Amino acid sequence: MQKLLCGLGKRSLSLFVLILLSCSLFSQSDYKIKGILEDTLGNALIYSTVLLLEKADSTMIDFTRSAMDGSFEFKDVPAGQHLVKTTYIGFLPLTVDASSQGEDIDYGVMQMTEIAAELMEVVIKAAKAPMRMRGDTIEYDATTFKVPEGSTVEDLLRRLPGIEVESDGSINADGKSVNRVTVDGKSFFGSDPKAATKNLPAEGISKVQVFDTKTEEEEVTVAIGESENKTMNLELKEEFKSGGFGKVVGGIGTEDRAELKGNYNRFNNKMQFSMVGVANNTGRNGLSWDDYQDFMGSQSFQFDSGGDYGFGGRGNMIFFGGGRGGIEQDIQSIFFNNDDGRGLPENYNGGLNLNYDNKKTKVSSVYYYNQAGLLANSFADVDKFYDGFVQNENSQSIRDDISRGHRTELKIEQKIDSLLVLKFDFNGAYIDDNDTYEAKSDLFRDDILTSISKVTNRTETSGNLLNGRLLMRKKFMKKGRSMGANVSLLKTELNDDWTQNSVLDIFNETGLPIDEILVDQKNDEYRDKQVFKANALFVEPLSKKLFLQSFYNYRDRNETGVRNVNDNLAGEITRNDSLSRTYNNDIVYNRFGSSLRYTHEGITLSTGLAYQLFDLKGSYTDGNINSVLGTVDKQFNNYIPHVSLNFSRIRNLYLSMSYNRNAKEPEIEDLQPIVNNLNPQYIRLGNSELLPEISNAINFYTSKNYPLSDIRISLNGSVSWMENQFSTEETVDENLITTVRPINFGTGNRSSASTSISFPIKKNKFTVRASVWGNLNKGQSLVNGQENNTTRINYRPSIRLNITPSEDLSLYVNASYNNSKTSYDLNDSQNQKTEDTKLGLEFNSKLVGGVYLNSSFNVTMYRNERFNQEQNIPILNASIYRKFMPGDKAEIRFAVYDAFKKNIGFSQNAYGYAVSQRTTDSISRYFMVSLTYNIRGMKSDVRKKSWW
Amino acid sequence: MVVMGINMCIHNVIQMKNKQIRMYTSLKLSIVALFLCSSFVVDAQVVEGMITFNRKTDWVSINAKLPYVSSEEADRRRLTSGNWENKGTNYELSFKGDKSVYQTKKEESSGTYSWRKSKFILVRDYGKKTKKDLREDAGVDMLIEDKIEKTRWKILNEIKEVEGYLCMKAETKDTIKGQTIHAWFTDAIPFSGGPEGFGGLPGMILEININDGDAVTVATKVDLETPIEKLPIPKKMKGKKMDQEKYNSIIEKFIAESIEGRKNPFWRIRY
Repeated sequence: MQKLLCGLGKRSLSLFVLILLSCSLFSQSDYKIKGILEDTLGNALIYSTVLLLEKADSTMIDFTRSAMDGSFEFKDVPAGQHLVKTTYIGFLPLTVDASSQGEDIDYGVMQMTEIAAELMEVVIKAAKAPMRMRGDTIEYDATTFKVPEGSTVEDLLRRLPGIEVESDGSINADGKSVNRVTVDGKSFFGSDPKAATKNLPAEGISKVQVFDTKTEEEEVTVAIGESENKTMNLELKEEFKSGGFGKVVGGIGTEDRAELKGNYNRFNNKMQFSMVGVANNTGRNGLSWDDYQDFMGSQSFQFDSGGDYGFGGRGNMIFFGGGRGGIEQDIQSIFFNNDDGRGLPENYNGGLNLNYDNKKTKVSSVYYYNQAGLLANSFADVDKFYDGFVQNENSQSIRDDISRGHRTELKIEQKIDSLLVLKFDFNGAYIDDNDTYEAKSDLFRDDILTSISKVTNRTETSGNLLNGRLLMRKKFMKKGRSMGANVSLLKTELNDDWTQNSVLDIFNETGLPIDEILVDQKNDEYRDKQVFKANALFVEPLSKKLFLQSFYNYRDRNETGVRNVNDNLAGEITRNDSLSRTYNNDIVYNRFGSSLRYTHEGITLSTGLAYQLFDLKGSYTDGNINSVLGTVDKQFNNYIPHVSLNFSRIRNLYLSMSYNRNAKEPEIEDLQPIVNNLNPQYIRLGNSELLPEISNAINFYTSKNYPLSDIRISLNGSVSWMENQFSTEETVDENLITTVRPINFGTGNRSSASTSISFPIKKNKFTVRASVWGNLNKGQSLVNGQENNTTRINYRPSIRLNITPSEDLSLYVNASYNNSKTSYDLNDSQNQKTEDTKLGLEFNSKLVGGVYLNSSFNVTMYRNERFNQEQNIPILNASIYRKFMPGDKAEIRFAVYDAFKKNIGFSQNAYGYAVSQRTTDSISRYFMVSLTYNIRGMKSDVRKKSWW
Repeated sequence: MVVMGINMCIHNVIQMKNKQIRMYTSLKLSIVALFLCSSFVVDAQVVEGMITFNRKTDWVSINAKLPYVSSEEADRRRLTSGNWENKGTNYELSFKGDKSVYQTKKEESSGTYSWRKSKFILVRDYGKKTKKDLREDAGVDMLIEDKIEKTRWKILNEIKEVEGYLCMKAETKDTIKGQTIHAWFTDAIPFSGGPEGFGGLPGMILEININDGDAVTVATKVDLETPIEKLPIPKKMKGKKMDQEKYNSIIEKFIAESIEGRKNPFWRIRY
C-alpha cells in the first residue's frame, strides 16, 4: 500500500480513493497501462501529455507525461472501460482502447502521425482557427480565411488546405470525392454538391466540416472503417441567419372609432430595415418603446449629447425651445406624441428606417411622416385674483387643427482608425399646419358681466428645416487624453397666413353696452432662423485619476422676419403700420471653461468654472423704408460655476450631488416688440429689454438596494432659484382687457423632495412600492404694477401594489393623493386648496379556453375646497382576447373603453394668481373588436414587464 | 548541456514547445535538442508567471436564453444592441509553485466616469487543494473557503492556438447556472490552473468559453519571464464567510427567484 501511494503522487489521490472503492466493491484487481510514443520516423516523443479517460464519455481520470524515451505508464488503474489518449503538438492525437478486467496493458511502440505541416501552418498559425479531429479526419473553422468580397464557397474551398476543387467544380477532400454538401446539416438544393458551393457567398460561411458520414457520431473514439466518399457540411454565420418580425393590428368599433397599426422589420448583423404605420381616431397612438426599438434598431439609443460640450460628459448647456409649429421636434418625440385624452383626435403616422453597420462605418437613415388632427370643444372656467377684485372668465372654444410633418434624419459615422471617428448628421423637415379656432368668452368682474368676446381665427403655417452637423472625436495614445470638435448649421423658414376676426363688446356696471371693438385682419408672416454652432473639447490627464477638461462653445443665432398686418375695413384691405413689423435679431454666444475631474473606482468628482458672453443685437421697423422703430444692442456676461459628485464606491449604494448654474436666452417671440391680439381680451406684447435668465440648481439623489431581499430605497431632492427670472407683467384695464408683457422679475424659488421604498411582502408574488413627493414653489410676477407672490405647497403620497400570485393572475393597485395649497399675497381670501385622489386597479387573468382578460379601472376624484367643487371620474376599460392559428400568430380581442361613459376631459389647475377648471368633449364609451397578426406568434402574459 | 539546471530545462521545453507552433519546420530539431536535457525534466513542475485575460459577456445571447423572453424580445435586443462595442474586462492570473490568484486588473481611468468594480478575487492552492474566493454576487460580498472540488473534464478532439500556445479542448458542465464550459488548455505551461477558478487539467487553461460565446475569457498576454516574488494576494479579503455548498445554494435560489420574477439573474451574479 505504501508503495502504491508513492507511485501515484499527489494528483492521483482521488484516483486512489476510486481504486479503494472499486477494490472493495468488486474483487477485480487494478492494472497497469504502458507504452512508448514515437513519431513515424521512430523518434521518441518526449514530454507529451498522455490522458487516461473514461470510455463512456471521455471524462479525464488522470494524466501523465511521457519520459525522455517516450515511455509512459499509468499504474493501479481500476478495472473498467478506459481510453488512453496521447497528444503531442503537431501530431494527430492517438486514442486507443485501454479497457481491462485487471490484466496489464502494454501497447509497445505507439506511432503518432504528424498533422500535415501545411495544415498547421495555415489553419492554426495563420488563420488561428480551431482544428477538430475525428479519427484521422480534420475539420476547421473557415471564418478566418480571407477571400475577396463576392467570392463563392468554391473560391473559399480552393484556399483551404487538404481540399481540391476540380475544374468542373467537383470537390475532393483528403483525396476522396465529396458526394454530398449540406448547409447547417440540411441538404442544399437537392443532391448536387456543386449547387451550394457555387452559389453561396463565402462570407456567409462560418465552418467547413468534412467527414465520412459513417463515423459522424464517433466523436471521440478511434475511427473505424473508411468510407469511399465524404460529406461536406457548411455552417452559416450567425449574422447571415437574419432575424425579423412584424405584426399588424386592426380594430373597428362603435362611435366611428377605428385603429390600424402595423410594423415589419428585417435585419442581420450589418443591415436593418424596418417600417411602421399607424392610423387611428382612438387617441391611442399605440406605439410603445418596443415599437420604437423595432423601428430604429441600433439607432434607438443615442449616446452622444449633441456635441454641445460642457462640464460633464454630457453637454451642460443652454438649449432653446422647439419653436412654433414644432418644426425642431425630432423623430423620437414625434413617435411618442400621444394625445392627452382630450378632444377627438385623428392621427396617421408612419416611417421607414434603414441602418447599416459594419464595425467601421455606420449609416442610418430614417423617414417619418405624421399627421395629427384634433377637434376639441372645450369649456373653461378661470378665476384670477387681483388686488380688490376677482375676474371670472367663462368660455367655450372649438379648435379644429390638422398638422402634417415630413421628417428625415441621416447619420454617417466613420471610424478612420481606432482613435479617430468622424460623424456627419443631417436632418430635414417639412411641416404644414391648418388651424381654425372659434371662441366665445364672457368676462365677469366680481360676478358682474364686463365684456363678451367672439373670436374666429384661421391660421395656415408651413415651413422647412435643414440641419447639418460635422463632428470629430479623437483619442490619443496617452490614455485619458481626448478631444472633440464639431460645427453645425441649422436653418428654418416658416410662413404663416392668418385671418383674425373678433368682436369685443364691453358693458358698464348696469349691463349696458358701452363699447364695441372689432378686429378684422388678414395677416402674413415670414420667419427665418439660422443657428451656427461650433464646439470644442479637450481632456488632458494630469494623473491617472485627475483630468482637466476644457471646452469652448460658440453660437450665432440669427432670426429675421416680416410680419404684415392688414386691416379689412368693409372689404378694403389696408396695411396696419402700427402692428406690422420687420425684425432682424442676432444673438452671439461665447462660452469657455474648464473643469477638474477626479475619477477613480466609483468616485467621480468634478468642479469647474466657465465664463460666458452674450451679445444681443437687433432692430425692428414697421416695414416701411427707413423706419427703424428701435434697436437692441446689449452685452452681458456671467461666470458659471459647477460642482458635481457621483459616488458608487459602496456596494449597492449610489449617490449623486450637483450644483449647476445655467443661462437661458429669451425666446425671440418675447424679444420682439410685436403685438399679439389673437385674443382681444388678452393682448401679448414683446419686450426687447429682456435679459437672459440665470438659473441655479442643487440636486441630490441617493439610492440603496438590497438585491437578495429585493428592497430598493431612494431619496431625491432639489432646490433651484433664478436670477432675472422670466416672468410677466400684467395690466388689467377697467374693461378687464389684460395686457401681458414678458419681463425679468423675481427669483422663482423651487424646492422639491421625494422618497420611495419598494419591498416584497412575498417575493415575486406581492411587492409594495410606497413613495412621497413634496414640492414648494414661490413665484413672483407684477400685476397692475403690484408685486404678486404666489406660494404653492404640494405633497403627494402614493402606493403601488403588484400582486402576482400565479402565472395566470395579476393585480396591480396604485393609489395616490395629491394635495396642493396655493396662497396669493395679493388677495389672501382667494387661497386655494385642491386635492386629486387617484385609485387605479389593473386586473389581468387567464380565463377558460385560452381566453385572457385584461381590465383597468381608474377613478380620479378632484376637489376644490374653496369653491366647494367635487368631480369624480371613474374610467373602466376592459378586454378579453384569445390567440388562434398555428404558432399563436393571431389574436382576436373584444374591448370596451370608458364603460361608464365618464370621460369629460377634465383638468383643474392653480397657477400664478389664477385657478382654472376645464372640460373638453372627448372620446367616451365605445366598443371595439380587433384582430392582430404577428409573424413571430403572440405571447399572452398577464404580467407587466419588469425592467430590473 | 546535460548538467543544466532543472528550471532552465523546463524553460527550454516550454520554449521549444512554443517554437514548434511558431516554426513547425524546426520540430525535428527541437526533439533532438530535448534529448540533451536531463531526465528530471518530466517530474519537475515548477513554473511561475502572470497571464492577462480579457472577459467578454454577450448579454444579447444570455438574455435570449432566459425562459421568459420571447423570440421576438430576444430579436429586439439583438437588433438594438447587437452591434454595441464590447471591450470586456481584464483580469490577471498570477501563479507560482502550486498557488495562484485570479483577480480584476486595476485599470487606468479613461477620464470620463468611473464605476466601482465588483470584488472578485479567486485564490487557489493546488498543493493543499484549498481555495479562498471573494466574490460579489447578488449584492453581497461572499468569502468562500473550501476544498477545491474536482472538475469532471471531458477531453475533446480539438486544438487551436491561443496567444501562441497550442491548446486542447476540454468540456465540463455547471449544473447550477446551466452552463456548458469549454476550456482550452496548453500542456506547454505545466500548471493545472486557469482563469475564472477553473483548473485540474494537464496544463494551464488559456481560454474559457461558456455556452458557446455567452462569456469568453481569453488570454491576451502570457508572461513567464518576469519572476513572481510573491503572489499578489490581497491581505484584506472581507466578506460573508461560507463554504461552497452554501454559496451554491444561495446562487441557485437567487437564479430561480429572479427568473420567476422575470429579471435577468446575471445582472446581479457573475455569469
